[in-house]
Amino acid sequence: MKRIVLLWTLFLLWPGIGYAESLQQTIDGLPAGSELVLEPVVYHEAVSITKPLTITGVPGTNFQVDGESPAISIENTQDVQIRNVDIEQGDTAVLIKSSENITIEEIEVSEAGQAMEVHDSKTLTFRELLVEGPAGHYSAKGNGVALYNSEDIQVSDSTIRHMRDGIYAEKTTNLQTSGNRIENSRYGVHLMYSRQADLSKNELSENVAGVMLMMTEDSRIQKNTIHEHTSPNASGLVLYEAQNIQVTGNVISANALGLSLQKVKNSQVTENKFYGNQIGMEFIRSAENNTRGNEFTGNIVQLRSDALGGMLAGNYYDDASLLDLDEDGYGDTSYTALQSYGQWMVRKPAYQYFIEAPAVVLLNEMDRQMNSMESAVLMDSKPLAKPPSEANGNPPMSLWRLFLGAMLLALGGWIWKKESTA
Amino acid sequence: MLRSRWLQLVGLLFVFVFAAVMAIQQLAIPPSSGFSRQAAAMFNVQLFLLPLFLLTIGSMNIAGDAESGWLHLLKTYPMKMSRYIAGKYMALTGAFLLIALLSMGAVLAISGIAGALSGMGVYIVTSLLLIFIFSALALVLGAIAKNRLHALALSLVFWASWLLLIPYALMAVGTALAGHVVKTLIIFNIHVNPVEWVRFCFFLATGNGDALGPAFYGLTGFYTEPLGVATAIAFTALWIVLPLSFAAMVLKRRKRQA
Repeated sequence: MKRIVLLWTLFLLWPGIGYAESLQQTIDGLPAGSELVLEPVVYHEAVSITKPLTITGVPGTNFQVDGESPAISIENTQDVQIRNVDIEQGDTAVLIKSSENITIEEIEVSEAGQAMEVHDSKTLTFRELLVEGPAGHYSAKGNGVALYNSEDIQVSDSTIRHMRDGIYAEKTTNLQTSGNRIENSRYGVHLMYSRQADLSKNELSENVAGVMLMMTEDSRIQKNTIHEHTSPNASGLVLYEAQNIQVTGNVISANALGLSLQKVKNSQVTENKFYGNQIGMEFIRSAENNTRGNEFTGNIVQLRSDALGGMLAGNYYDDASLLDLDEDGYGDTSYTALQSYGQWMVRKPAYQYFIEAPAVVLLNEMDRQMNSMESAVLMDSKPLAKPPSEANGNPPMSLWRLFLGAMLLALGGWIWKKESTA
Repeated sequence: MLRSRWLQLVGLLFVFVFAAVMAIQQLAIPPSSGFSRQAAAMFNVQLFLLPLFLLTIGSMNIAGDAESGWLHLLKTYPMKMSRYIAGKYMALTGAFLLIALLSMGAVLAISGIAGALSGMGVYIVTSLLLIFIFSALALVLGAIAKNRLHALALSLVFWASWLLLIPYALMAVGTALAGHVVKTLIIFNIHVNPVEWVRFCFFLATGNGDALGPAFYGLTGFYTEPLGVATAIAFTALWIVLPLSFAAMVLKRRKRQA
């Protein structure tokens, strides 16, 4: 009898073996506006939230949900906050539908098909997400944050890696993304049919395209760092059939193609730094946009375009041979960026093989001499004589390189002298 | 060979031009990863100058031996022409390796003052490729040439063709051809033009095959796999062995005719 009582007691006390309320039942039992602090355990159940609620995890709070159900779904409600939770595996980590005033922060998502999916919602904040996608091709993955038919969204201070698109927005209005780091995905930020987006101070690297903006209008892309998009067909930014877009103050470096404007209207590209890209910027049927105050330094092909060209004014080009005798800050002669090789590269992609080949280097030099007199397709009539940003002081001196170089010179000279007098 | 005044001048010129271009690029362009203008400038100086100097000096050296009668004298000795060619090859490559070493020293010393320079490893590899391949080709041209002027003319014709004329012809013809035909012609040119082969190897070695564009994704993909790397090494060896063998064969035939 004593053994039976002992076993019964153990059964009741042993966590998880005795009857315990499921998380969903706990949530259902809470009144609207409550705050729930989760245990540091692994939850294997999907939960649905349909009322105002604050859910806070602690270190060790983890959701592992198999199947197609989202780990956490929020539907037809408002004023929900979820923070400090890890979500592993699963089809979708968090699904939000027809809801308002939702905050999701300090959430770590790994190996999930899609991290955040939002439909028909308003006033959402995603902050400090850490999303790590599964291995495999982009086509087999979902997005870091996917937004559909929503408005007033903030995504900030998050890190997203190895997803299809870091942030995908479709028919979304007033999306603000800032301080995010998105890498190794197909597109860092992908906007379709959206309006009034603001992409600021994000770092986008090693994606197929840092920013892909299609059929979008009235948006700003400013002060982002966009670098090392170098895979085939990769670009820092691609703007396609967009209008009223401001691309301002970005650092666009070491990309296969820095910025591509395709069928873009009434937009401004100003005060950006194009450093060390294979192709700095291209215009395809985008002649009527304002490109001003940018710095083109160290790009193999500075600018290229179709026959329509592009509108350039007051940019700095490191390959321009300019005099500024009147000291007004602008070159006394115009700069023509037209390179026949660059034009052909747009028309026949196979020509890219010759990029910076010796033959092309000579061709560019000939173009430079001839274009200064003839062409106005990609001409800047007021090129800046000096770069808008000054160099960062003197480069650091390296004594060991100086010493090693001097030693090699001395050794080479000694061998030469010894052998020639032998 | 190092006693040649011409070689000394060439060495000085190469070191000066190479160091000057690199210093200008280092001071003007911010450091950048990937295939940057700095990397392209460094490689283009090598592509323009090293083949030119190697072809002219190497071919004229052999042609000079024939013109002065020194080769006829050597033929009276029990020495195989293949050993003569091997000796010339080692002397030529040795002299230019020394020039490359001096250039590297000058650039390193300048980078100690003007700022860090990336890609020295690649510079060494491409220098070795150019020196070993174009030394072999120079000896063929020298063996074919009747005299030094002929050798100089042949060298300039081949240098200009490989470096400039063939690419221009391809670009010109390509304007009237379909894209896939242009691509096929370019791939053919990569394998029959030593300048393009070295250039292609440069992109592969630096991991910048993507810079050649999506049209060549398949080709660069193949040459970065183990089988492709082995093929590239074998192909490079052929660019050295075949010209040397051909040069020895030409001289041997001449020896028999004499």
